[in-house]
Amino acid sequence: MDYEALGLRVGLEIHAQLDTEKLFCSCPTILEDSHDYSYERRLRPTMSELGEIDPAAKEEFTKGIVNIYKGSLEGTCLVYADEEPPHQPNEEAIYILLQISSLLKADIVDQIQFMRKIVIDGSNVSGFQRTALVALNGSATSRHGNVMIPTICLEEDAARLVEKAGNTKIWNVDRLGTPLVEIATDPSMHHPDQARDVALFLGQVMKSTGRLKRGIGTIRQDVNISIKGGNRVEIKGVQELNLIDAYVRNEATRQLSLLSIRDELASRQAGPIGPEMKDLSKIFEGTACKIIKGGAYGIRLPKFKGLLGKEVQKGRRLGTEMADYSRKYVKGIFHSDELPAYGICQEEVSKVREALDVGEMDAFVMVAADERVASKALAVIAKRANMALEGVPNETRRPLPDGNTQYMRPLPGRSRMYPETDVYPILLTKELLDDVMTNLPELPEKRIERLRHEYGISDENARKIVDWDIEELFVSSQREHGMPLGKFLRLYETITMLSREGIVIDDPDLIDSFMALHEKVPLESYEDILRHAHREGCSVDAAIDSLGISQTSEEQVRKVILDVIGSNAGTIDEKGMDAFKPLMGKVMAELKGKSDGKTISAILHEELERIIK
Amino acid sequence: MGEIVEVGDRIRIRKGENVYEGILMPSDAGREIISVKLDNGYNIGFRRRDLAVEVLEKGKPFSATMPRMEISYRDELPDIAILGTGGTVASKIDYQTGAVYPAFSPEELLMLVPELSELANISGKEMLSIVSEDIRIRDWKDMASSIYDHIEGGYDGVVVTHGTDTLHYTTSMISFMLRELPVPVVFVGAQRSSDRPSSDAAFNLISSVNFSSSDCKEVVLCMHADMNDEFCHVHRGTRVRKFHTSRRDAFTSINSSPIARVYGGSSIEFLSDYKDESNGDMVLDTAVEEKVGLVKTYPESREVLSCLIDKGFKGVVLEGTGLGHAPMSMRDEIDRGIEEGMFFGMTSQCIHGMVNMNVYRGGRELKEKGVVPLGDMLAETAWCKLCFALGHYDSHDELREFMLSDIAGEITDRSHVDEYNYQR
Repeated sequence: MDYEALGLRVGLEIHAQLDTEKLFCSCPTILEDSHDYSYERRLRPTMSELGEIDPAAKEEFTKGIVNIYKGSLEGTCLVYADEEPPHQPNEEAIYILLQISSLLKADIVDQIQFMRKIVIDGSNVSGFQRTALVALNGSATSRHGNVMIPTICLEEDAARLVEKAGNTKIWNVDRLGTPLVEIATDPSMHHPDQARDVALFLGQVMKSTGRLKRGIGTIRQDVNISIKGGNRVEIKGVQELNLIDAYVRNEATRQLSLLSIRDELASRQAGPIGPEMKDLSKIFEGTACKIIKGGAYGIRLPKFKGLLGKEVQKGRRLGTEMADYSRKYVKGIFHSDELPAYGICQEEVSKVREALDVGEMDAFVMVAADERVASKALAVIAKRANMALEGVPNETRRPLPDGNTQYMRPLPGRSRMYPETDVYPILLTKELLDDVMTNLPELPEKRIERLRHEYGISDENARKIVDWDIEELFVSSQREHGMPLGKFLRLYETITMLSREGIVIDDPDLIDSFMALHEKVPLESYEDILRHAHREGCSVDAAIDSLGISQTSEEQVRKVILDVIGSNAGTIDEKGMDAFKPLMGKVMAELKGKSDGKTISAILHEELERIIK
Repeated sequence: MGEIVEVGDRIRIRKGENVYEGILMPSDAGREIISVKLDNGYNIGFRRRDLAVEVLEKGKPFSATMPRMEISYRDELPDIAILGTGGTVASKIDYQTGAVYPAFSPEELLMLVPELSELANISGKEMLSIVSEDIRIRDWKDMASSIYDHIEGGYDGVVVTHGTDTLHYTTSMISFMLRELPVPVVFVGAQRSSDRPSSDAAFNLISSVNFSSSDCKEVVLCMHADMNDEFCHVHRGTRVRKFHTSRRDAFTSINSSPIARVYGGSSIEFLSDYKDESNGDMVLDTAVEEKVGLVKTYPESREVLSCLIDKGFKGVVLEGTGLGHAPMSMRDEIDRGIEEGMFFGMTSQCIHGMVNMNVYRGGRELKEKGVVPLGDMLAETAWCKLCFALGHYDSHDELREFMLSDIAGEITDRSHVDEYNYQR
């Protein structure tokens, strides 16, 4: 696909959590599912001086939404219960933002002013999010060209939605107040790979500070995409960095398909669609279709024949898009391009066509619901059909695991912002900025290059070490213990594997002593030793002794092998070199954990060869 | 740069190679920092000396003209006056500048809190505009007069918005200045600024207007009962105190139970006895003495008392320790004051519970000297009452009798078991 010709434009917005205390209080930023208290609140829409109330806010309020907030006594305080004014902002968080801004060569403001950004969905207990613009006009580099970063902001993360039932939303306030760095690019990216590379680059820059939280959900990416003639679409909450290019490609494809649908409709001279629906329930009395259980209603979409079934993304059609729009009301829709199907027979289809006065070039959509729900669902479908006449709707979409996206909600309007007067503006002193500049972390590429040069390791391994952020550990394993890279990587991989089981090995002394004893310990025993040391709370040395692991000398290994060979002469006569495998099994049974598999194998091979000769 | 740049002007600033455009904002840091609102809505600050500033467009003066609103009068609803003293329970935000403006007129109040139109025909007026920590005795006199006039004018109830810092002082003083009320006078405030969506202001205001047409003919205070936006507590004005610097449920009844629970604009649940009758002759009496002290005793607090005596104060409410004790080191000054004709009353720093100066020798001796134990009265309430008493009486006996009689529910001789740490 020629993205230039398409006029592809992509912008990114990345939010990453910082590993510090909360932004405006001294609570830890730890997620906890259990809670000790809860309280309920209603958020009221605020009014501007012109008497304007945000319609979305008013809608939430008139629905009578009640927010229930839950928290743990240990982990939360009154500030993020909106029961105490905010404390002054977290200095560490500000420092990290200054580092990131400097690395991205942005223009840092002289005085940081926090704003209140109105958010009325309940995710912030005070009804607003505190956010501040720290730096402007930075830039990110990529193979496809640089992209400008108009804003770098520091803001609070929101509470976690635990459950939504009817008019009640239940929130967990553990995450509320976690400092977030927000980096926004301008929409000038023009190639899917560029978007991915820039996202990766920005991720690396942020991680280079060493102060980012790790794990699922700690970095969220929003991708904005449009093509010439199309419309801006926001894909919200992309987790997989490596799929960003796929999302961009598929969205460009989708927009292109929607534009060609528009053009086709124009050439057919399709006009606006009304939401008037007809009651089709009688047609389906006694139908074989299990989904229709009573009411069935439909609308005609004039000139839409064949277009509902047209693919806009792999495996997704215009009809799928419409179904997503009406998902709030019905689980799915039926449309003429795919019928007869689902137990609906041709005869029923014909009757529907007749009832809806469906012409040759027309299509129809049908839903199985009662009249009230059906009218809402079909009104939304008519709306989406009318959008198809225009081309691509402005919307926010949700990423799907296969690289496609799904309609989520209309694009939000700009949130109201006004100054946060409880927090005094922060003047950034020259001393502070000088400190930041003289202590800037190294960008990843530099670190990788340096590791390769200094330690002669491959690009791939150097990248691993930088990505996993274990440089310091690696350097000490080299400088202090001369540990071979392979053993070092095995050690780290073992630690990571154990941590996934909940066994956390993070005592620097323990790790250091392990590395010191690397010559004594065969690779196969790494896991056993670490498990034992952790469980018994003992030293590595003690673990080695307890487990009876010892690096058996080559001489001893050879002796055992000769013994085994001796006792299995018959097998050797029979199988020749093929006896290697069974013999290896017997040797390992005796020597497992006492020597390197590689060494044993080499010696066995050697001795076996000699005997056979 | 010869032109004058004013707040509200659209400007372009050049900082090195960077160029920014936005509206000039007021700046706290005075001349050093220029604060600009960018088109993306954010405010940023740059050091003036690093910038070249150019005016692109002069700002227009801000006019907060709100759309006209039709308010219909409904006969079946009570007429309630909402009088403001400076505490904002309703405000509008100018998103351009970030300024927050208090809302007073009925139109504004109804637009911001439309629920009020279901509860009452409201009229709003700003009586006073101060932060409550600055309130003075003369402000109370004006306030009492204004409330009196409104009630005389036929209102079915009065709601007064007030800052929370000294709210309980005001409710006490007004309870003495205005008696035989024919209608409720409900004081209300907000702990969270009313410009934010989570503010307790609207719910408190709705609850107050709701309660203001009840048959409770007292001065009361209505605020959140706990962290939930579920119901407010109505407290007797002479029996309430602010107990937390910031929580919504900061106000608590002392040595009494709250009078009622009010579930916003819906139900009212009475919790204890209240005055539901009056003799029909409302009294406005603002004669008070200003030179009255409130002294919290502590080790070495003698000198504080000396100063007050030297300055010719007429009376002092002591906030003593425990059952109503003052350090021995203060004794001689207390003697001196009494000799000068000053009235001394005793309350307790414990806040809860009754004083009893018969139990220990120290207490007994003070009492014998003439210090009057003030039962279970709150220190702040006792101070208000003593100001009032000294505005009317001179002799020790008259003063004593007045201070110990129950004027507005501020003193009783029974301590109920559930009045301490009561279930909210």
